[in-house]
Amino acid sequence: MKKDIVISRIADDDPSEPLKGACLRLVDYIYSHDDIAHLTFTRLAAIAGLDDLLLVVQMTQYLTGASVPLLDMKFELIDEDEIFDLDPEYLDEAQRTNKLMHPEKGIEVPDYENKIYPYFVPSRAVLEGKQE
Amino acid sequence: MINPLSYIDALQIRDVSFKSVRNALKNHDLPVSTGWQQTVEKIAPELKKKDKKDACAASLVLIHNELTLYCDKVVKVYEVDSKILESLAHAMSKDFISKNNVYLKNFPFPLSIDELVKAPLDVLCVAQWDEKDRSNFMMCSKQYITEREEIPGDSLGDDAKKDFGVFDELIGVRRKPIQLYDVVSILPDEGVIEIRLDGVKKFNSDDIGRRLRRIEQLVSQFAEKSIGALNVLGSTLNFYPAIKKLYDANDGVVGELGHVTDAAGIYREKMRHKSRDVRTDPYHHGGTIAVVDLNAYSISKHWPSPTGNGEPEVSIPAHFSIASDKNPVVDVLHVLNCSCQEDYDFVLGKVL
Repeated sequence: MKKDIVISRIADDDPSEPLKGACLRLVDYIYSHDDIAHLTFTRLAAIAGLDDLLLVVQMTQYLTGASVPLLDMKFELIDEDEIFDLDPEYLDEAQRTNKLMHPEKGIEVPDYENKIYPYFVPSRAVLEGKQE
Repeated sequence: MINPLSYIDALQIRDVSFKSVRNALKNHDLPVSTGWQQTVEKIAPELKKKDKKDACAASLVLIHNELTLYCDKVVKVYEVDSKILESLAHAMSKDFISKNNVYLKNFPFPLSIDELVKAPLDVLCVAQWDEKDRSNFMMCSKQYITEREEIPGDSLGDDAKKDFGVFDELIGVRRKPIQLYDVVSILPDEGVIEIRLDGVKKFNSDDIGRRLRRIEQLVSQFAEKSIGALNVLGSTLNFYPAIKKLYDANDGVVGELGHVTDAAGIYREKMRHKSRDVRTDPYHHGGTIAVVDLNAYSISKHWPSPTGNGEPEVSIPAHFSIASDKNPVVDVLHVLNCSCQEDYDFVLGKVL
């Protein structure tokens, strides 16, 4: 997906300000930087120039949605000093059973809700669009 | 007749990496799941199928043995004359295994906690496991780990609640013995002895070093007494030059790097995820252009497994002071996430 397509879709959807301006600043950043592999909420807020956390959440919901799939949302388990990328298999099971199995240890992670952190990466469609 | 699932239970009791067990099972086309119990539940039906049960049982034994030999080890390598090695292996086959030692009763399975508490602290040779090109002498011992666990408030009695109720959190400390499976491996064709030590993720380098020195002492004394070979472990391989070699080689993924700069900077760089390479990180890349030449003192690198599942890894762990040494020597390395001998040999081949 090329940058101009993303911008025209945002223009069509016409979200209210300051969300629209924030989205456009983020689009600009994503398409002008390579090697983006890990964006946190705080980093997204800084790039988009937003102070309001609620607006950041709204922006990520919009930019991971079907209309403008700019970002993919992923999850990692941070267990003390170690970080584990969580495959969908583990997340699906946690949603179903309310238990998260540790990918390295194979046992239940106590208090896992407080150890899972979301992060964002450019979507496959964006990466393909950048290569064209 | 031993239930083949006991081999999986043994790996779990010993806290062998579940991820490596999962990769090993995948290599053998066996079913896996997200946790130990769930995986056992998936394998159990395979052991009831007439056409598959024998192959499945054989795979579980092989997986157990290969993970015991090669998964997550601290490794030290000694160069020894091939003829001495042949004599030594022959002599060790006859007399090195301790007779009537406490670990023999359950081997290859670990002792129960009660039995382990009573076991002596010394390292004992328990068995010889031969492979095509090497003889492996299995060395068992125990070492204590300290675990900290939160004590739930509702588990306290009334008196304890009175005494400790003012605290938001109560932590219990438990000392628990762990049975360790170290290996003395003799490879006459390669002209080397390898000592591979367990517990790399549980114990610090001092604890592991003490065990290593004891095993070195046992092997050296045995070689001197049985075949008259003095100082058989006198020539060790230095892995320091491999740090630069691994960094420069374009293959694999460098996940961690420690380096110092001419401007007196000390840096330890680590990528969050396995797929990312320090060398292609823009922050690192910009730095390498600025400092011209990189003076690395430690590295971790991994590759896709040649067997198809997993990412075997080598870590050369050194302190930044090594970069100031006039004769830098790093004589141990960590070989991690190997599910089988092929993974291990592949990783060591990248270093040597």
